[in-house]
Amino acid sequence: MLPTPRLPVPLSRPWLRWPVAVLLFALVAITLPRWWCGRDGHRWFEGDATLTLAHAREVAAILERGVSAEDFTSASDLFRNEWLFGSYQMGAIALLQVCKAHPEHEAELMPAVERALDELLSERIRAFDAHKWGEDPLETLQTSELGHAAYLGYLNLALGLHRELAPGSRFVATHDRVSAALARRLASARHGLLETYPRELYPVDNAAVLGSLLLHARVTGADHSSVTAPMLERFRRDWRAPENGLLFQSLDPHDGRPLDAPRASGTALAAVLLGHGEESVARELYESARASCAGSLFGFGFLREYAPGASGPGDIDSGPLIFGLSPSATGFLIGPARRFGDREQFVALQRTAHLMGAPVSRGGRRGYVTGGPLGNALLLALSTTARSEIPAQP
Amino acid sequence: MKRRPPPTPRRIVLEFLALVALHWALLHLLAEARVLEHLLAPGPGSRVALAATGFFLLLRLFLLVFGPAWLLARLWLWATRPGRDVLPDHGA
Repeated sequence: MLPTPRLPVPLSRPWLRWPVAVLLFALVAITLPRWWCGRDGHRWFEGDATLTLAHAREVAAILERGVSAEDFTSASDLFRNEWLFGSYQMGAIALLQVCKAHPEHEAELMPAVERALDELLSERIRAFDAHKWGEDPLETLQTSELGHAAYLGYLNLALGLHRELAPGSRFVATHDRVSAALARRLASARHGLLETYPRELYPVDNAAVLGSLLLHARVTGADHSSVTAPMLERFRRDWRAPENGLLFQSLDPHDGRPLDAPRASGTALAAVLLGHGEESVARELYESARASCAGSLFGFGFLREYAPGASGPGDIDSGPLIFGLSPSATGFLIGPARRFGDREQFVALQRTAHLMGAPVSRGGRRGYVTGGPLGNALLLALSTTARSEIPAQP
Repeated sequence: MKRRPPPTPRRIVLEFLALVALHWALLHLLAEARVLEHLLAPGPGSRVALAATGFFLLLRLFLLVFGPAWLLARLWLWATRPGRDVLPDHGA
């Protein structure tokens, strides 16, 4: 019988065995999850067609199946209906971006986009805004001077992106009418911003208004510069905190002063929305959010809602804050990170999205388990954000 | 008191695979539910969904971030257990 060979070092000695175990644990925990959860991030960044299409099919299926306010759990009727609106709006934008990047799938995805646009224009969807304002946002386009910033701004972005791909569609006239109404109202707006709801002034919703007008100008050649140029300048100068560049979440409709702290969720979302129309201020917003609030743990990216030294509660915009980290802001920053080619930041945020979103593939489709209609639409829209080639505005 | 014997590699791997299977089952179960809305804005009927989602996310966090390291560290500790200063290929 051969003698049992012994290891050169007695590895069972506690002083060696346990430190090696801890070192092994740390090495694997630091490197392997980073790699595993980052694989999709690199594919998203490269615009991988297989991955993109699988998620697009999930979003298209959700839109085709239809979404209702009962799909959402908030106790607030307003939030449920805003999320319903957001699901169709972000779903349409996401699929339009996929169509633009992968034109070979336009015929497959465009019906879901147009279904979503029809829903966005429907009385059922716009009822939340009509209820808050006491007037219908579409029927009063030419007669009212009230803001309707959220409904009209976000809607107009989707209409503009659709027009880029389908310049002769049945939505063109509505796109022109909404854009004209927004430009006219902005020209006479107190403080240079449109109210989202009566006596509620949010710069982030106005980023959608501004982005949509710049997009309308680019697609149609219309000139909105008399309102867009000063508004861009005020986004650069007035509506952001001078110390960190973050966008104020809300302003006082009476005197235009900040009502809320500058926050990452609004800043990152504004960078997403404005980026559809221009690059310069959107990039500044992105860089402010990243510089002030972004962090990473073992390669998993996140955003704090408040800049260092500030603190505050979470809300419907930020999502529940966990140690000050905002799930919404973390997700929103994915879009501008891709737009401005920041692979490192993009992949770090995608690692977190992979970890907490829990993607699952079923029947040729791929969706995030924790996503639902709004989360899946949002993450597809953010992950497929086009790299901007728009020249910087003056 | 009788000392519990150290787990065998087979048991270590099986325990890990059981967690993987539980994660997989929950992943597909929760795919049918819409849970983000519960997380962002819990409503009156969100308690069960929140508990299930919380458990799932903790399990996922453990499995994806710490799971492989935990598995390897346990296998290492087994391979180097006291009285086991021999090359693993030759048995104990």
